[in-house]
Amino acid sequence: MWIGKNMEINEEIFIPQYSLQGEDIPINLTWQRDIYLKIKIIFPEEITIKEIYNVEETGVKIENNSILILEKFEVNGYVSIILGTKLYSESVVHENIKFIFIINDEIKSIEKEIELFRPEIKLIHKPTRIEIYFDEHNKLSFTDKIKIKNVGCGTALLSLKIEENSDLKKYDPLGIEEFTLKFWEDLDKKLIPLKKSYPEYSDLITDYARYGKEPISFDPEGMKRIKEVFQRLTDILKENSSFLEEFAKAIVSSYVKCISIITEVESFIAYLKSSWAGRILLFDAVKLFRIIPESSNILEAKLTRTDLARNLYEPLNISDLQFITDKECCIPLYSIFEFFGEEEEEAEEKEVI
Amino acid sequence: MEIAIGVGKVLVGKIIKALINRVKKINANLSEEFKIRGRDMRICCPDSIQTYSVSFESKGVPFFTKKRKFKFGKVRRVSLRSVQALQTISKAIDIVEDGFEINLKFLQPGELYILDIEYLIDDPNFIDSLVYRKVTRDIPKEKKKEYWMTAQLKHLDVLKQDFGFIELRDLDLNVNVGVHQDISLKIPGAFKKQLETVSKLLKPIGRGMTFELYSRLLHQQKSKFGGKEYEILRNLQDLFVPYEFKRYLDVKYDFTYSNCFRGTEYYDLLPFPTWPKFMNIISRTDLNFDKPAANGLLIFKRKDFIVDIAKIFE
Repeated sequence: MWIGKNMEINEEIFIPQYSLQGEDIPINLTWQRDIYLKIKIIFPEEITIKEIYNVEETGVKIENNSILILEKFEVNGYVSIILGTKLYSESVVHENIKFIFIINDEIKSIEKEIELFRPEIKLIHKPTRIEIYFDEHNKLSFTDKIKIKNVGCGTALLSLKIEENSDLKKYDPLGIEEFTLKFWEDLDKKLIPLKKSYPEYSDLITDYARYGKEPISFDPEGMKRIKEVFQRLTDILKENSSFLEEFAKAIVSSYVKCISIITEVESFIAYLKSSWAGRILLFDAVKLFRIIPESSNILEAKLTRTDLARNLYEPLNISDLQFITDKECCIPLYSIFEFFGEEEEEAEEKEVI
Repeated sequence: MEIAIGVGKVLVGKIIKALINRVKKINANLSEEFKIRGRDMRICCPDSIQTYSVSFESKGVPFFTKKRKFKFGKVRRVSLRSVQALQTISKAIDIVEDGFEINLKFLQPGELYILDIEYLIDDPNFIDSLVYRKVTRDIPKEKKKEYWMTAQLKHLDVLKQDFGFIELRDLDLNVNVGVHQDISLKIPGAFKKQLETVSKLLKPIGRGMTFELYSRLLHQQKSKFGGKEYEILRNLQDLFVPYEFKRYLDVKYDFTYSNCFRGTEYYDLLPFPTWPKFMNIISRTDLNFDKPAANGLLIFKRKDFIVDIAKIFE
């Protein structure tokens, strides 16, 4: 609370303490409605002002691209501001935003800090050759692994995109492959009458069905596709409740029909293998590579990555990696990786349990 | 720097004007037989419903007509209550194709009534044009599971009407709380290995391999989890039932907890939606002219969640 010239302004400032980089940051300010003032907001150059609400256009001024001056509020006592952020080269930065309330010649200034974070995936070690051995119980062991560490903050989503010139291709394990195939086959059939009932959404339904059948990748094209399909779908489901009902019914009935193909145990294993230390989510974790003796078995791939704000990052090259075996085998995708998080988090995990 | 100032105000203004016009027509119609005593309008989210309540009493003379027709658009719900008896007079209301009718023979002259009418607001973008809603998509440190939420009105003056202020009720915000790390890191390694052996045995394999896997399983069955695989999985699944999962949630400040369900984002559905990577938590708040912004915090009581996972394996 600030008292200026016998007046209590009762200001309240909301600004989040943290946000993923690349996300919009909401700010709202309230103060006593019968006190007329001017507000100056000083923000870092990296942050942009995107939207302002409840201020007349003539009451908004920007100075030096980093000072926002607000007056002439449509309803006095409140303003809503949306800031834009970008991806920084550092995975964690702290930015300060200064709010200055001005009544005539009196000022009060308040500074707030926001932490802007993102995951940062580092390829710590990429071997050129991995040998696969079997023990007396036929258990597989590897001479080396690809080592990945999330040295930033926040969840990282990773997907291995296999290049066309790769000897190794990924495919679904038995059971899961059958489930995936049958599920999408069945759903395809159920979506046909839906397309007829809602011809205006026909393209979207086709895109959705295609999304499920094709491998996911976090490159610009893949992310654009995910964003388009899911954004359009969310918008339509929001505005058309009867379509939502029929669409959900089709998915659930296909799922229930095919779920008996895979066991609960398998689905749980797939779940466990997709989540790793350092808040890493690995897609297609239980897909398999077939390794054949006396074959070149070269993996050419790119590790595509994103975060929960769907930011795009440069893919990591996993190229020219040879697998050697003297016995034909199938190895799950997750098994060629070793994931690490920040030590302090891991230590804390152990302490809790 | 391109700044959007007051975006969407024209759309919001147009919709609110249409809502108010309808209310004015209702009032004009009612005024012919009754004295209007009080009025109130709310917008109920997330279904985007205009709720108009009006209290009125008859002018003390016999009614001119038997029925009053309010054909100003399809209604969602209408109810008429007597203030004195606190009873709903359902017989007095007939819903028709393009509105509703009040059968005046069920009303008494001189008595005070409240009429509540609900209309669906057709424009799906109305709420989003009126309110900016945002929650954090992720949190910086795993150990501090606090998710901020905010709902802030974009346009305030449009809520001010001659009868008072339009209120926004039950505005919903969805937070995705990550649980995958807690589950995957807290499941004992021995149990994971046991499940892998069971899974391999369920698939077609060679005779020699079957023998080896059975031997391994027999050995693993001696552990404390032996033979309890399905029971343990069931108990783990139970943690995600809304009634159970809400115990790990605390919603603070301007919001209240409403519901939770398994995540529905694209990264949650693959490969199987049976095991959630995220739980979707819905919290609600109200906004109005005097409270233009609501700010809150959703706390995931991770330690309690982890302790309960550990109990399943005790």
